[in-house]
Amino acid sequence: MGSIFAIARNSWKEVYRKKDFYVFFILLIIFLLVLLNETFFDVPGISRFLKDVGFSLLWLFSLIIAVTFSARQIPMEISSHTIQPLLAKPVSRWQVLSGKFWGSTLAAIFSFSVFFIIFVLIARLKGEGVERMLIFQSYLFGLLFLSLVCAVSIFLSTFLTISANVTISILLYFFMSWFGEYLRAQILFPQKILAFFYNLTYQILPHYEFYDLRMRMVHGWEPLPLWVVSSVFLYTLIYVSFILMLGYLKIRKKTL
Amino acid sequence: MKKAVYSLTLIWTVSLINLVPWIDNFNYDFIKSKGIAERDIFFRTLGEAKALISDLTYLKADEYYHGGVKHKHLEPHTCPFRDKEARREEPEYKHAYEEKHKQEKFSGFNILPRIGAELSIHAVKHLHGEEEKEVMPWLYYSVKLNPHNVEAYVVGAYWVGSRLGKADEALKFLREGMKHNPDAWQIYSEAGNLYFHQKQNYIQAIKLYSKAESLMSDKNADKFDKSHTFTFLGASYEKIGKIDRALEYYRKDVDLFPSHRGLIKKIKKLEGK
Repeated sequence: MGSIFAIARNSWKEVYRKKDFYVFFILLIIFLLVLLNETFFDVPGISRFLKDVGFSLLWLFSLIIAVTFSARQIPMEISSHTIQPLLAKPVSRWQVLSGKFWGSTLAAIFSFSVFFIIFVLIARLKGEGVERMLIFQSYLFGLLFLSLVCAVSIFLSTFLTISANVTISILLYFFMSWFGEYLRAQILFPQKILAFFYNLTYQILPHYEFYDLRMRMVHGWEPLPLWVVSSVFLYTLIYVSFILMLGYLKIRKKTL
Repeated sequence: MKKAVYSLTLIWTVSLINLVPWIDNFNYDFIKSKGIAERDIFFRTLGEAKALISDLTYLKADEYYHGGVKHKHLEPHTCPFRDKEARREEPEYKHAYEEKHKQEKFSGFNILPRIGAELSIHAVKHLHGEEEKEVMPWLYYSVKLNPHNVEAYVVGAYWVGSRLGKADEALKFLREGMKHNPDAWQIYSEAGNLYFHQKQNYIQAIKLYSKAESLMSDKNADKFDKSHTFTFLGASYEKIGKIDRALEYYRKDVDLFPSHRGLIKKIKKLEGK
């Protein structure tokens, strides 16, 4: 456990050493301030537009940080040959993989938390505000989402190059966000020939669309029931453990 | 050597100073010849795709009106975003709506679709009162992206003028629409509505409805559209006391809908005066 923590700590420190976070941080503030000052037809207090666009931006920036950060963790260690002294310590490959996962997740969570605080503060300045329970649920789901994104990227990094990994991870996110509902409809009303294919796709791919509570938060719908929050939490836990295990199986006997 | 460097630098600088405005003027003339007066940020970023994004933005306004839910205007009550077809075939749509929601109640023990169902919003709600202003940004950007999106101008002006009570802002918006779409009767008709209902300026309403009528043809307007214009032209003339002209338009309206009992009754009453 100590080794995992040490590796994670070294990894997550990179978030403030690299420039990505600062660039997104400044961009988010600029966008939010522009949105805050935007007026339409001289009508005061229009706020849902700000919340919608602002939350989309913070979600997207956090996703990019999570993917680019986690995708380079293992390939960089391999290409710079720093993985050999690390494994000689002795630290098992499972510990390296877990440490890298936790490091990336903490880095992504740190960025998301900073972005989220700024977003909530600015969203409260205009219009109707957001219900506290929905703020909490959106934040929690954001943390779960980023841990899933990092786990998938870490897994993909065991057999893909950094650029391929980043591209596939981001495409996977957009695919599930756009077609997750469609896949669900295919499961509910199965067509005989494609039923197996749809079922397989639905069960295998990570359900990123579960985590985006933007519409609920923007339009003031009621918060999610506890059983759904618990189910999503459990789903993330199972999926993350499973995919990290697959990653471990992949690098267990790989020549590094 | 130094001389050569200085000379080259001078040649490059002079060339660049001349080339940049030349390329820029060429681009400007090309864009102007395509009928786009200003190279706005949307055109520079999206090119011709901005018309498509404009339609999506308009749909986003529709979604906002329904609490962020994508839906096909199946609910039976009145909605400003509903298309004419849906409005006219209400019972069928109502049935389809109920069927769709009945089917979505799935069975079985597969937990993932169940979580998905709980997370997505299926209920339908409409914005009320103060909340209605929330659709405005999307309608605003819809016409900024595509100044030829006539429907966005009409619906936007309806929200600003009739729902939020800012008739002057709505008329300003429509005037911008007229500038970009001089042949769109819908924009003139909506401006007429604002002058009739909000400002009670019937002379101005007559001018605008008449302009709308002159732009209407069998290709771009159906008999419901024509009927609306005739009714309000008639009503505007009636308001300023020109009964003969009012009767003329009411009769035109009855020609389109001979079973319109209320209007027939009104014509008889006016004829009796």
